[in-house]
Amino acid sequence: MMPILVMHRKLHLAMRYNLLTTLLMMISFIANAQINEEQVEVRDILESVAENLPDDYDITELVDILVRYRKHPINLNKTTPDELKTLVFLSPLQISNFSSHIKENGDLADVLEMQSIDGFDAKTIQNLLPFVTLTGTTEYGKLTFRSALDLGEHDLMLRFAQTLQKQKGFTDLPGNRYLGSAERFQTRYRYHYGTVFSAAITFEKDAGEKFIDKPFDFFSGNIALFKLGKFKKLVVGDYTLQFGQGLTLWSGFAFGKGPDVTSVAKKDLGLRPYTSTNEYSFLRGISATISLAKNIDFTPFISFRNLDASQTLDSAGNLVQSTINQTGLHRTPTEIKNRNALSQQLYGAVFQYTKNEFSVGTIGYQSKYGNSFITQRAIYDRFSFTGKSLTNLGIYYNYTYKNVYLYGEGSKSLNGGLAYLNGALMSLSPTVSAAITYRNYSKDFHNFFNQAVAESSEAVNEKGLYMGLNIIPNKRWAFSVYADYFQFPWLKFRVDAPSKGYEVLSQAVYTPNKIFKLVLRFKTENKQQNTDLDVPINFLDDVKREGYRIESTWQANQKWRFQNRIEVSQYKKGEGDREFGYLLYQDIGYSPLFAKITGNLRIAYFNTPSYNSRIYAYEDDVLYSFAFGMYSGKGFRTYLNLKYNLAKKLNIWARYATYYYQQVASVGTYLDEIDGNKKSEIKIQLRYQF
Amino acid sequence: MKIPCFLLIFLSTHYLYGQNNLGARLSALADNGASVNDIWTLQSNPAGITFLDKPAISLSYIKNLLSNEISSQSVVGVIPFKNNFVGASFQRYGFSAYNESKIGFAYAKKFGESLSLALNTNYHQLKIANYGATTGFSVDIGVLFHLNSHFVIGAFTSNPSRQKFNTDLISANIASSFNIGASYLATNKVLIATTVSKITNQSMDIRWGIEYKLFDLLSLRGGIGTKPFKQHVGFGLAFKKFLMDMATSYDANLGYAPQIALGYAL
Repeated sequence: MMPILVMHRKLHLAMRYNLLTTLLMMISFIANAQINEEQVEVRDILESVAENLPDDYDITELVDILVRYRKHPINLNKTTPDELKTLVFLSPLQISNFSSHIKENGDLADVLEMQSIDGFDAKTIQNLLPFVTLTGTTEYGKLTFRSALDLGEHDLMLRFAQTLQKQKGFTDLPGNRYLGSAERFQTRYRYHYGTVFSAAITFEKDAGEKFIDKPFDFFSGNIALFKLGKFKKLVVGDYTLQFGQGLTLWSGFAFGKGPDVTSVAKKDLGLRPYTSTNEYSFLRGISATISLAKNIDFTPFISFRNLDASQTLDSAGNLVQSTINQTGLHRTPTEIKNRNALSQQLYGAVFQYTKNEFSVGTIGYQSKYGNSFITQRAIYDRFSFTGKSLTNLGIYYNYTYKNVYLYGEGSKSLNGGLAYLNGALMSLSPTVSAAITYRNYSKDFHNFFNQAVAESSEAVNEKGLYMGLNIIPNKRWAFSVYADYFQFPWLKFRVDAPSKGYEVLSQAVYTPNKIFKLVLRFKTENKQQNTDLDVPINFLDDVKREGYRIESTWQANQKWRFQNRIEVSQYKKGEGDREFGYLLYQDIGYSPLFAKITGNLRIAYFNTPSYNSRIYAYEDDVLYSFAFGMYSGKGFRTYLNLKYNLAKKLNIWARYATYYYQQVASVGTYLDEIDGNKKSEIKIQLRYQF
Repeated sequence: MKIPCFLLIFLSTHYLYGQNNLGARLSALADNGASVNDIWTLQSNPAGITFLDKPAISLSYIKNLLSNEISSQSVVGVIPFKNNFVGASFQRYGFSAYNESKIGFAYAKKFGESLSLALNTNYHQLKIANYGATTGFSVDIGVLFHLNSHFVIGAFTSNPSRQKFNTDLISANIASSFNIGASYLATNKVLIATTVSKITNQSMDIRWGIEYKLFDLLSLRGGIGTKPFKQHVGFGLAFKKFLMDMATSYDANLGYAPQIALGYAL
């Protein structure tokens, strides 16, 4: 059982790197669904950076933010760095430069004035336009019960999804099987009163989960107040905390390496209400950000939760566990037994001092667990956390000096190791920006809320140097390149010796005019892994992965949009044979102005010799849902999305997606296995804003 | 000591002739010599010397930290005659039991403001203890074109005629390589260069380098190469007619190779 749980955890954590991509995708989707009228080509920029994301991951929080800015744009003349940080495509250096520009030159008279700000290229401004304004206010009058009823905005969303073929787990298997039904349900309700008050409720039931004693397996909610005198923020219920570079305290999603090389410098959003359906990465309790003095913010927090863990009895008869299961799935008898098995209590505080271009913060918190963690059996995991109580301390900083943004964080787990990272973003000229980051995380660094930049799934047992360049010489061309060199001083899963590797990505984007765009991308990665040969002592083989992509997008007219892509993947392990896989797809989008119905379609053909040379590609989906399709094996993939505006405030989405594999007798593995060569899914979503 | 020496030769010898000692500046830019103006392009794309308006000379020394014995020394010089340029280069690499040297003469010509062409002839010598010595001869051809004040493209080929050493006793070839590069001068402070190189029987290498002139006196540089994966970093000082450049490369297998170059222009 253990290896599977560990695998789950690793898979789950592995998604984190690609979140920038996903997020970018997400913006692209919004661009598609919401801002098409403005001809904002955000989607293109973002889709061009699609990297592999092994599962669909809920990043609703960020979608929420952008959808709201679309409706209530940020007033650039009244904004704060904290507010700008929520716009994912702005780098910390751009935010800092923007603030100093406003401070020195006063209010902006025209948004195009931003072109004179260091680091603001034409693309950034184009991305920014839909979400900002120069006039108007987002503030409301005094919050009263009456005004909250009259002026508040409500947003209700219902989603249903189901795989049409029967998966093995739903049949009458002896032993492990899915006890619940195959449907997936999600309900979200959001309430906003300007920027001062919000509330959220989310319910979810995954496929295979039972309607136990309550209608939904996962329930999450919160109430949040902002700008209440000394209380800058107050959240009761589910919340996330993100500080510094994510080494000490970061819940929710985090971005890592991406084609936008400045994304390695994290933008911490501090305390935020939690609105996603991810069942692991949040805190439950109460937290507030209080302004203690002019430049000092204090964020105390407390959280009580029950986590999923598979437990065993130790020699003294106590329940113990070695890992936490982060998937949030409760489908089989084992998963149900492990549900909420481990209590987690967390309390601590963050102090942050900010003055002009300088900011420094300290973090301290303690987490206590209901039962003890024990050393894992695997040698690669022998330095992991043991015991019941863990104290984490951290210090982070950032400082802007002229055209350089310096940042870093150091973190320590008491009785455990040290981890630190330092980096700089530099705007070398109006057309060139560079990023460099050095990281060093010891093998016995223990932290349950650590999401710092890393090559591995967790920021532990790793040293690395990341260097990147963004070059935008003119309006037509944009280039980016990064290289990351990393070492793992201790063993890893399937790596029986200290190892090292590197990753290089380069991308060129050519946009000769407003309707056509071409993207070329090359990525190469080399890591070490145990040999596949049957030898008494495993030695390491180089595992080389390469990807080549050509993609073109053509906005034929105001109604039709076409995109196609060719991607080739290459895989080679040690002296083994080279493997080549490829993917071809054609996307067609239809979205006439003011039309009630819009939609898009994909037809793809893929052929990869094995799972090793698999290819991931972003797929359009219903609003708030983002997924990367995995193209592995040989066959066709197609999907159709439709959106229909039933009324001004009532929208309905429908999606049908299917895989046809060639020359296979079944699809999927273990409990997800389907007889036959087809896997199809249907999704329906309803959204009502009032 | 013998093992590191063996390692170094074993792991690097087959591209030694393809990748010369390019001086500390170009080396810090990840050996980006195809489309950059520098006296050391004599060792890569000799058309890159046509920016000089006065005679110049430069010396370079590379030390590999893997072994105390191994080093590389090199000297280059160029004399311009209006639109014609002549250059000479000499380099030596190795340790007591293994020694390579190369001497080259280059001629470059400028055709207008944008285009330069160059030809370089090399005489190689390889000495291996107990095996004897062998010599060989090769030719390099280079071209450099200024698209505008920001972009330069260059191409060169090394030993395209696949000349070999003149003995069967030592089975080493003089490598043939084909290189295309582009450089972008974003402002007079920022230079970015990239080269795609293909050496016969090796995978294609893509390299990037960047130079940032912090002040007129001091420049900072960095670069990466992909096949093999190498990181480069360095800085340069320019004081009156003197240039001093320092750099180091880092290869995951071979470690650090620091180097220094001293230049003087009349």
